[in-house]
Amino acid sequence: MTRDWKNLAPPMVILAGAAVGVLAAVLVEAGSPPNMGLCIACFERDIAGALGMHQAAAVQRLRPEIPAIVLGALLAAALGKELKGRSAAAPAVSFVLGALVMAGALVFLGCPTRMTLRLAGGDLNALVGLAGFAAGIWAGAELLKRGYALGRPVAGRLVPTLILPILAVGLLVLMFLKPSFISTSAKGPGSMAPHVLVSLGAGLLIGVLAQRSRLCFVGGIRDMILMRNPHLLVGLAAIIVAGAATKMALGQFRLGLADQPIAHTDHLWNLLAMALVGLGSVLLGGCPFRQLILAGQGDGGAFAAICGMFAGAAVAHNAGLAASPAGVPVAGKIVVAAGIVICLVLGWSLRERQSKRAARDG
Amino acid sequence: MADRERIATFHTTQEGMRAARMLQKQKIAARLIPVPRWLSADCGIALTFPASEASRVQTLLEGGDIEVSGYHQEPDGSSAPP
Repeated sequence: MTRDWKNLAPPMVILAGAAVGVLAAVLVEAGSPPNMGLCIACFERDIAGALGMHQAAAVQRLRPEIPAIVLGALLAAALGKELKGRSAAAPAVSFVLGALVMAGALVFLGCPTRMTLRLAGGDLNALVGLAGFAAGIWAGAELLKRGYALGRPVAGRLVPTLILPILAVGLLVLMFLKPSFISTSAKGPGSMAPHVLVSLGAGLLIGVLAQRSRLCFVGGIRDMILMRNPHLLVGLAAIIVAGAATKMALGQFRLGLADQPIAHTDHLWNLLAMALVGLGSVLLGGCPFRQLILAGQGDGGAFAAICGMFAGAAVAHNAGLAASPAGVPVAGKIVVAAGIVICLVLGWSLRERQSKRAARDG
Repeated sequence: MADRERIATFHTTQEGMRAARMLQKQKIAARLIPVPRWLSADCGIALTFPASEASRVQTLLEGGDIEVSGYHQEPDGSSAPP
Protein backbone atom coordinates (compact mmCIF):
# COMPACT_ATOMS: atom_id res chain seq x y z
CA MET A 1 0.00 0.00 0.00
CA THR A 2 1.12 3.52 -0.65
CA ARG A 3 -0.38 5.04 2.47
CA ASP A 4 2.56 4.40 4.73
CA TRP A 5 4.16 7.26 6.60
CA LYS A 6 7.08 7.64 4.18
CA ASN A 7 4.69 8.63 1.43
CA LEU A 8 2.69 10.97 3.60
CA ALA A 9 5.66 12.57 5.34
CA PRO A 10 8.79 11.90 3.31
CA PRO A 11 11.91 12.33 5.48
CA MET A 12 13.65 14.26 2.68
CA VAL A 13 10.94 16.95 2.63
CA ILE A 14 11.15 17.33 6.40
CA LEU A 15 14.94 17.57 6.19
CA ALA A 16 14.78 20.17 3.41
CA GLY A 17 12.18 22.22 5.30
CA ALA A 18 14.17 22.09 8.54
CA ALA A 19 17.31 23.15 6.65
CA VAL A 20 15.53 26.18 5.15
CA GLY A 21 14.18 27.17 8.58
CA VAL A 22 17.54 26.90 10.31
CA LEU A 23 19.65 28.37 7.49
CA ALA A 24 17.38 31.40 7.04
CA ALA A 25 17.77 32.28 10.72
CA VAL A 26 21.52 31.75 10.45
CA LEU A 27 21.61 34.02 7.38
CA VAL A 28 19.87 36.77 9.38
CA GLU A 29 22.43 36.30 12.16
CA ALA A 30 25.18 36.57 9.55
CA GLY A 31 23.84 39.87 8.21
CA SER A 32 20.83 39.19 5.98
CA PRO A 33 17.83 41.56 6.35
CA PRO A 34 15.90 40.88 9.59
CA ASN A 35 12.62 38.95 9.52
CA MET A 36 13.78 37.68 6.11
CA GLY A 37 17.00 35.68 5.78
CA LEU A 38 15.76 34.19 2.56
CA CYS A 39 13.11 35.55 0.20
CA ILE A 40 13.04 34.50 -3.43
CA ALA A 41 10.94 37.45 -4.59
CA CYS A 42 12.89 40.06 -2.58
CA PHE A 43 16.26 38.69 -3.63
CA GLU A 44 15.30 38.51 -7.32
CA ARG A 45 14.08 42.10 -6.96
CA ASP A 46 17.42 43.07 -5.39
CA ILE A 47 19.29 41.47 -8.31
CA ALA A 48 17.03 43.29 -10.80
CA GLY A 49 17.92 46.53 -9.02
CA ALA A 50 21.64 45.77 -8.99
CA LEU A 51 21.48 45.25 -12.76
CA GLY A 52 19.81 48.63 -13.19
CA MET A 53 16.37 47.30 -14.09
CA HIS A 54 14.80 49.48 -11.38
CA GLN A 55 15.91 52.56 -9.47
CA ALA A 56 14.78 51.87 -5.90
CA ALA A 57 18.05 52.72 -4.16
CA ALA A 58 17.33 50.73 -0.98
CA VAL A 59 16.85 47.36 -2.67
CA GLN A 60 19.75 46.78 -5.05
CA ARG A 61 22.24 43.97 -4.54
CA LEU A 62 23.52 40.94 -6.42
CA ARG A 63 22.29 38.24 -4.06
CA PRO A 64 24.30 35.02 -4.32
CA GLU A 65 21.47 32.90 -2.86
CA ILE A 66 19.38 32.94 -6.05
CA PRO A 67 22.08 31.70 -8.49
CA ALA A 68 23.33 29.31 -5.80
CA ILE A 69 19.88 27.71 -5.41
CA VAL A 70 19.65 27.26 -9.21
CA LEU A 71 23.12 25.71 -9.34
CA GLY A 72 22.37 23.47 -6.35
CA ALA A 73 19.25 22.19 -8.10
CA LEU A 74 21.24 21.67 -11.31
CA LEU A 75 23.89 19.72 -9.43
CA ALA A 76 21.36 17.50 -7.66
CA ALA A 77 19.40 16.90 -10.87
CA ALA A 78 22.57 16.05 -12.79
CA LEU A 79 23.73 13.61 -10.09
CA GLY A 80 20.28 12.02 -10.01
CA LYS A 81 20.18 11.80 -13.82
CA GLU A 82 17.07 13.98 -13.76
CA LEU A 83 18.42 16.82 -15.84
CA LYS A 84 16.19 16.98 -18.85
CA GLY A 85 15.41 19.79 -21.18
CA ARG A 86 11.75 20.59 -21.40
CA SER A 87 10.41 23.47 -23.41
CA ALA A 88 7.72 25.74 -22.04
CA ALA A 89 4.14 24.87 -22.95
CA ALA A 90 2.98 28.48 -22.84
CA PRO A 91 5.93 30.80 -22.17
CA ALA A 92 3.94 34.04 -22.56
CA VAL A 93 1.41 32.88 -19.95
CA SER A 94 4.21 31.80 -17.59
CA PHE A 95 5.87 35.20 -18.07
CA VAL A 96 2.68 37.10 -17.20
CA LEU A 97 1.88 34.86 -14.23
CA GLY A 98 5.45 35.23 -12.96
CA ALA A 99 5.20 39.03 -13.16
CA LEU A 100 1.86 39.05 -11.32
CA VAL A 101 3.11 36.70 -8.60
CA MET A 102 6.06 39.04 -8.12
CA ALA A 103 3.74 42.08 -7.90
CA GLY A 104 1.68 40.31 -5.22
CA ALA A 105 4.79 39.32 -3.29
CA LEU A 106 6.08 42.91 -3.34
CA VAL A 107 2.78 44.20 -1.96
CA PHE A 108 2.77 41.63 0.86
CA LEU A 109 6.54 42.09 1.21
CA GLY A 110 7.59 38.51 0.73
CA CYS A 111 7.17 35.40 -1.36
CA PRO A 112 5.73 32.24 0.22
CA THR A 113 9.23 31.36 1.48
CA ARG A 114 9.55 34.60 3.42
CA MET A 115 5.92 34.42 4.52
CA THR A 116 6.65 31.07 6.15
CA LEU A 117 9.87 32.40 7.69
CA ARG A 118 8.06 35.50 8.98
CA LEU A 119 5.52 33.20 10.60
CA ALA A 120 8.34 31.20 12.18
CA GLY A 121 9.71 34.46 13.59
CA GLY A 122 6.40 35.37 15.24
CA ASP A 123 5.29 37.97 12.66
CA LEU A 124 1.51 37.50 12.80
CA ASN A 125 0.97 39.58 9.64
CA ALA A 126 2.21 36.46 7.89
CA LEU A 127 -0.73 34.56 9.36
CA VAL A 128 -3.06 36.99 7.56
CA GLY A 129 -0.96 36.44 4.43
CA LEU A 130 -1.20 32.67 4.87
CA ALA A 131 -5.01 32.85 4.98
CA GLY A 132 -5.03 34.74 1.67
CA PHE A 133 -2.38 32.42 0.23
CA ALA A 134 -4.49 29.34 1.06
CA ALA A 135 -7.58 30.98 -0.42
CA GLY A 136 -5.69 31.75 -3.64
CA ILE A 137 -4.44 28.16 -3.83
CA TRP A 138 -7.98 26.88 -3.27
CA ALA A 139 -9.20 29.01 -6.19
CA GLY A 140 -6.34 27.70 -8.32
CA ALA A 141 -7.16 24.11 -7.35
CA GLU A 142 -10.78 24.67 -8.38
CA LEU A 143 -9.53 25.86 -11.79
CA LEU A 144 -7.34 22.73 -12.05
CA LYS A 145 -10.37 20.57 -11.30
CA ARG A 146 -12.24 22.34 -14.08
CA GLY A 147 -9.58 21.51 -16.61
CA TYR A 148 -7.03 24.34 -16.43
CA ALA A 149 -3.68 23.35 -17.88
CA LEU A 150 -0.71 25.35 -19.10
CA GLY A 151 -0.42 22.70 -21.78
CA ARG A 152 1.91 19.82 -22.34
CA PRO A 153 5.59 20.58 -22.01
CA VAL A 154 7.61 19.17 -24.87
CA ALA A 155 10.75 17.20 -24.18
CA GLY A 156 13.60 19.38 -25.34
CA ARG A 157 17.34 19.17 -25.62
CA LEU A 158 20.10 19.63 -23.13
CA VAL A 159 21.67 22.87 -24.40
CA PRO A 160 18.71 25.17 -23.56
CA THR A 161 18.71 23.59 -20.09
CA LEU A 162 22.18 24.95 -19.46
CA ILE A 163 21.39 28.59 -20.30
CA LEU A 164 19.98 29.53 -16.89
CA PRO A 165 22.86 27.90 -14.98
CA ILE A 166 25.30 29.78 -17.25
CA LEU A 167 23.47 33.04 -16.47
CA ALA A 168 23.65 32.12 -12.78
CA VAL A 169 27.41 31.62 -13.03
CA GLY A 170 27.60 34.94 -14.90
CA LEU A 171 25.88 36.70 -11.98
CA LEU A 172 28.38 35.16 -9.56
CA VAL A 173 31.26 36.32 -11.75
CA LEU A 174 29.82 39.88 -11.75
CA MET A 175 29.56 39.65 -7.97
CA PHE A 176 33.28 39.06 -7.66
CA LEU A 177 34.39 41.41 -10.48
CA LYS A 178 32.15 44.26 -9.25
CA PRO A 179 31.98 46.23 -12.53
CA SER A 180 30.81 49.84 -12.21
CA PHE A 181 27.36 49.31 -13.73
CA ILE A 182 26.32 47.09 -10.82
CA SER A 183 24.51 49.04 -8.10
CA THR A 184 24.65 48.09 -4.43
CA SER A 185 22.46 49.80 -1.83
CA ALA A 186 24.30 51.94 0.72
CA LYS A 187 21.36 51.70 3.14
CA GLY A 188 18.10 49.77 3.48
CA PRO A 189 17.56 46.02 3.05
CA GLY A 190 19.81 45.98 -0.02
CA SER A 191 22.77 47.02 2.12
CA MET A 192 22.42 44.04 4.45
CA ALA A 193 24.03 40.76 3.48
CA PRO A 194 26.09 37.96 4.96
CA HIS A 195 29.55 37.15 3.65
CA VAL A 196 29.24 36.01 0.03
CA LEU A 197 30.53 32.53 0.83
CA VAL A 198 27.96 32.05 3.61
CA SER A 199 25.15 32.98 1.20
CA LEU A 200 26.60 30.79 -1.54
CA GLY A 201 26.95 27.78 0.73
CA ALA A 202 23.45 28.13 2.16
CA GLY A 203 21.94 28.61 -1.31
CA LEU A 204 23.71 25.59 -2.79
CA LEU A 205 22.67 23.34 0.09
CA ILE A 206 19.06 24.54 -0.07
CA GLY A 207 19.01 24.04 -3.87
CA VAL A 208 20.27 20.47 -3.58
CA LEU A 209 17.85 19.54 -0.79
CA ALA A 210 14.90 21.18 -2.54
CA GLN A 211 15.58 19.32 -5.79
CA ARG A 212 15.82 15.99 -3.97
CA SER A 213 12.69 16.64 -1.91
CA ARG A 214 10.47 18.69 -4.28
CA LEU A 215 9.80 21.10 -1.38
CA CYS A 216 7.16 23.59 -2.54
CA PHE A 217 5.12 26.08 -0.59
CA VAL A 218 2.20 26.15 -3.00
CA GLY A 219 2.37 22.42 -3.73
CA GLY A 220 1.98 21.62 -0.03
CA ILE A 221 -1.41 23.27 0.27
CA ARG A 222 -2.50 22.38 -3.29
CA ASP A 223 -1.92 18.65 -2.81
CA MET A 224 -3.72 18.78 0.52
CA ILE A 225 -6.75 20.31 -1.22
CA LEU A 226 -6.66 18.11 -4.34
CA MET A 227 -5.60 14.79 -2.82
CA ARG A 228 -5.75 15.17 0.96
CA ASN A 229 -2.06 14.34 0.87
CA PRO A 230 0.27 16.20 3.24
CA HIS A 231 3.53 14.96 1.64
CA LEU A 232 4.77 18.51 0.89
CA LEU A 233 2.88 20.32 3.64
CA VAL A 234 5.11 18.62 6.22
CA GLY A 235 7.97 20.60 4.69
CA LEU A 236 6.26 23.87 5.57
CA ALA A 237 5.60 22.61 9.07
CA ALA A 238 9.28 21.69 9.35
CA ILE A 239 10.32 25.21 8.28
CA ILE A 240 8.07 26.78 10.90
CA VAL A 241 9.16 24.45 13.73
CA ALA A 242 12.88 24.49 12.92
CA GLY A 243 12.80 28.19 12.04
CA ALA A 244 10.98 29.19 15.23
CA ALA A 245 13.30 27.10 17.39
CA THR A 246 16.42 28.58 15.77
CA LYS A 247 15.05 32.13 15.92
CA MET A 248 14.22 31.70 19.61
CA ALA A 249 17.70 30.37 20.29
CA LEU A 250 19.26 33.31 18.44
CA GLY A 251 16.95 35.90 19.98
CA GLN A 252 15.25 36.78 16.67
CA PHE A 253 11.75 35.63 17.66
CA ARG A 254 9.25 38.47 18.16
CA LEU A 255 5.57 37.65 18.49
CA GLY A 256 3.11 40.31 17.32
CA LEU A 257 1.67 42.36 14.47
CA ALA A 258 3.14 45.82 14.91
CA ASP A 259 6.65 47.02 14.13
CA GLN A 260 7.85 43.82 12.51
CA PRO A 261 10.94 44.49 10.37
CA ILE A 262 10.30 45.08 6.64
CA ALA A 263 6.55 44.44 6.98
CA HIS A 264 3.31 46.43 7.13
CA THR A 265 0.03 45.83 8.95
CA ASP A 266 -2.48 46.49 6.16
CA HIS A 267 -4.40 43.25 6.72
CA LEU A 268 -6.74 43.45 3.72
CA TRP A 269 -3.90 43.94 1.27
CA ASN A 270 -1.65 41.40 2.98
CA LEU A 271 -4.51 38.94 2.49
CA LEU A 272 -5.30 39.85 -1.12
CA ALA A 273 -1.66 40.13 -2.19
CA MET A 274 -0.92 36.62 -0.95
CA ALA A 275 -4.15 35.37 -2.55
CA LEU A 276 -2.71 36.61 -5.86
CA VAL A 277 0.60 34.88 -5.11
CA GLY A 278 -1.16 31.61 -4.25
CA LEU A 279 -3.47 31.66 -7.26
CA GLY A 280 -0.78 32.68 -9.74
CA SER A 281 1.63 30.09 -8.35
CA VAL A 282 -0.85 27.22 -8.68
CA LEU A 283 -1.43 28.22 -12.30
CA LEU A 284 2.36 28.26 -12.79
CA GLY A 285 2.71 24.87 -11.11
CA GLY A 286 4.82 26.06 -8.20
CA CYS A 287 5.83 28.93 -5.92
CA PRO A 288 8.75 31.25 -6.80
CA PHE A 289 11.10 28.99 -4.82
CA ARG A 290 10.00 25.91 -6.73
CA GLN A 291 10.35 27.78 -10.05
CA LEU A 292 14.08 28.19 -9.33
CA ILE A 293 14.43 24.45 -8.73
CA LEU A 294 12.38 23.47 -11.80
CA ALA A 295 14.35 25.89 -13.96
CA GLY A 296 17.59 24.51 -12.53
CA GLN A 297 16.62 21.00 -13.63
CA GLY A 298 15.75 22.19 -17.12
CA ASP A 299 12.14 23.36 -17.19
CA GLY A 300 11.60 26.07 -19.82
CA GLY A 301 8.26 27.14 -18.35
CA ALA A 302 9.92 27.90 -15.04
CA PHE A 303 12.59 29.87 -16.92
CA ALA A 304 9.87 32.01 -18.50
CA ALA A 305 8.23 32.48 -15.10
CA ILE A 306 11.51 33.67 -13.58
CA CYS A 307 11.99 36.15 -16.46
CA GLY A 308 8.46 37.39 -15.71
CA MET A 309 9.33 37.78 -12.03
CA PHE A 310 12.37 39.93 -12.84
CA ALA A 311 10.31 42.07 -15.20
CA GLY A 312 7.51 42.29 -12.62
CA ALA A 313 9.96 43.36 -9.93
CA ALA A 314 11.45 46.05 -12.13
CA VAL A 315 8.07 47.47 -13.12
CA ALA A 316 6.73 47.21 -9.55
CA HIS A 317 9.50 49.44 -8.21
CA ASN A 318 9.71 51.81 -11.18
CA ALA A 319 5.94 52.33 -11.13
CA GLY A 320 5.86 52.68 -7.35
CA LEU A 321 3.42 49.88 -6.67
CA ALA A 322 5.58 47.91 -4.25
CA ALA A 323 4.65 48.25 -0.58
CA SER A 324 6.97 49.44 2.17
CA PRO A 325 6.75 49.37 5.98
CA ALA A 326 4.77 52.62 5.54
CA GLY A 327 1.97 50.75 3.76
CA VAL A 328 0.59 49.80 0.36
CA PRO A 329 0.40 52.49 -2.37
CA VAL A 330 -2.84 52.85 -4.33
CA ALA A 331 -1.10 51.60 -7.49
CA GLY A 332 -0.16 48.42 -5.63
CA LYS A 333 -3.76 47.82 -4.61
CA ILE A 334 -4.97 48.31 -8.17
CA VAL A 335 -2.40 45.88 -9.54
CA VAL A 336 -3.20 43.21 -6.93
CA ALA A 337 -6.93 43.45 -7.66
CA ALA A 338 -6.35 43.45 -11.40
CA GLY A 339 -3.85 40.60 -11.04
CA ILE A 340 -6.38 38.37 -9.32
CA VAL A 341 -8.89 39.06 -12.09
CA ILE A 342 -6.28 38.39 -14.81
CA CYS A 343 -5.30 35.08 -13.17
CA LEU A 344 -8.94 34.00 -12.92
CA VAL A 345 -9.58 34.92 -16.55
CA LEU A 346 -6.43 33.10 -17.72
CA GLY A 347 -7.26 30.08 -15.58
CA TRP A 348 -10.80 29.92 -16.90
CA SER A 349 -9.95 30.48 -20.55
CA LEU A 350 -7.09 27.97 -20.56
CA ARG A 351 -9.26 25.00 -19.67
CA GLU A 352 -8.51 22.07 -21.92
CA ARG A 353 -11.52 20.92 -23.85
CA GLN A 354 -12.54 17.36 -23.31
CA SER A 355 -13.47 15.38 -26.38
CA LYS A 356 -17.16 14.55 -26.62
CA ARG A 357 -16.39 10.91 -26.18
CA ALA A 358 -14.34 11.51 -23.04
CA ALA A 359 -17.02 13.77 -21.63
CA ARG A 360 -19.63 11.07 -22.18
CA ASP A 361 -17.49 8.37 -20.52
CA GLY A 362 -16.17 10.58 -17.73
CA MET B 1 -0.01 -9.66 1.00
CA ALA B 2 -2.46 -7.09 -0.22
CA ASP B 3 -3.02 -6.56 -3.90
CA ARG B 4 -0.01 -4.77 -5.38
CA GLU B 5 -0.75 -1.34 -6.72
CA ARG B 6 -0.02 -0.03 -10.17
CA ILE B 7 0.62 3.62 -10.92
CA ALA B 8 -0.38 5.55 -14.03
CA THR B 9 1.20 8.92 -14.84
CA PHE B 10 -0.14 11.60 -17.16
CA HIS B 11 1.08 14.51 -19.24
CA THR B 12 -1.17 16.99 -17.45
CA THR B 13 -2.88 17.23 -14.06
CA GLN B 14 -6.20 17.56 -15.78
CA GLU B 15 -5.91 14.20 -17.57
CA GLY B 16 -5.06 12.54 -14.26
CA MET B 17 -8.14 13.99 -12.61
CA ARG B 18 -10.35 12.99 -15.51
CA ALA B 19 -8.96 9.47 -15.36
CA ALA B 20 -9.68 9.25 -11.63
CA ARG B 21 -13.28 10.35 -12.11
CA MET B 22 -13.77 7.88 -14.95
CA LEU B 23 -12.36 4.89 -13.06
CA GLN B 24 -14.16 5.70 -9.82
CA LYS B 25 -17.41 5.77 -11.78
CA GLN B 26 -16.67 2.21 -12.86
CA LYS B 27 -16.15 1.25 -9.18
CA ILE B 28 -12.43 0.72 -9.60
CA ALA B 29 -10.47 1.53 -6.45
CA ALA B 30 -8.42 4.24 -8.13
CA ARG B 31 -6.90 7.05 -6.10
CA LEU B 32 -5.02 10.23 -6.98
CA ILE B 33 -1.61 10.54 -5.37
CA PRO B 34 1.31 12.90 -5.84
CA VAL B 35 3.72 11.45 -8.39
CA PRO B 36 6.07 9.32 -6.27
CA ARG B 37 9.54 10.84 -5.92
CA TRP B 38 11.22 7.69 -7.27
CA LEU B 39 9.28 8.13 -10.50
CA SER B 40 9.92 11.79 -11.12
CA ALA B 41 11.50 15.00 -9.90
CA ASP B 42 8.33 16.81 -10.99
CA CYS B 43 5.40 17.41 -8.69
CA GLY B 44 2.39 16.34 -10.73
CA ILE B 45 -0.33 13.89 -9.87
CA ALA B 46 -0.56 10.18 -10.54
CA LEU B 47 -3.21 7.53 -10.18
CA THR B 48 -2.90 4.26 -8.28
CA PHE B 49 -5.12 1.27 -8.80
CA PRO B 50 -5.00 -2.43 -7.91
CA ALA B 51 -2.73 -4.40 -10.25
CA SER B 52 -5.58 -6.88 -10.76
CA GLU B 53 -7.54 -4.15 -12.58
CA ALA B 54 -4.67 -3.23 -14.89
CA SER B 55 -6.13 -4.47 -18.15
CA ARG B 56 -9.56 -2.99 -17.43
CA VAL B 57 -8.01 0.36 -16.54
CA GLN B 58 -5.96 0.40 -19.70
CA THR B 59 -9.01 -0.35 -21.86
CA LEU B 60 -11.13 2.28 -20.12
CA LEU B 61 -8.51 5.02 -20.39
CA GLU B 62 -7.79 4.25 -24.03
CA GLY B 63 -11.51 4.28 -24.77
CA GLY B 64 -11.84 7.59 -22.92
CA ASP B 65 -9.19 9.33 -24.98
CA ILE B 66 -6.94 9.80 -21.96
CA GLU B 67 -3.29 9.59 -22.80
CA VAL B 68 -1.19 7.92 -20.13
CA SER B 69 2.49 8.84 -20.10
CA GLY B 70 3.40 5.57 -18.39
CA TYR B 71 2.28 2.62 -16.25
CA HIS B 72 4.52 1.73 -13.34
CA GLN B 73 4.77 -1.04 -10.80
CA GLU B 74 5.30 0.04 -7.26
CA PRO B 75 8.61 -1.31 -5.95
CA ASP B 76 8.52 -3.83 -3.09
CA GLY B 77 7.71 -2.43 0.32
CA SER B 78 6.92 0.89 -1.38
CA SER B 79 10.03 2.44 0.12
CA ALA B 80 11.39 4.76 -2.47
CA PRO B 81 14.56 3.67 -4.25
CA PRO B 82 16.70 6.53 -5.56
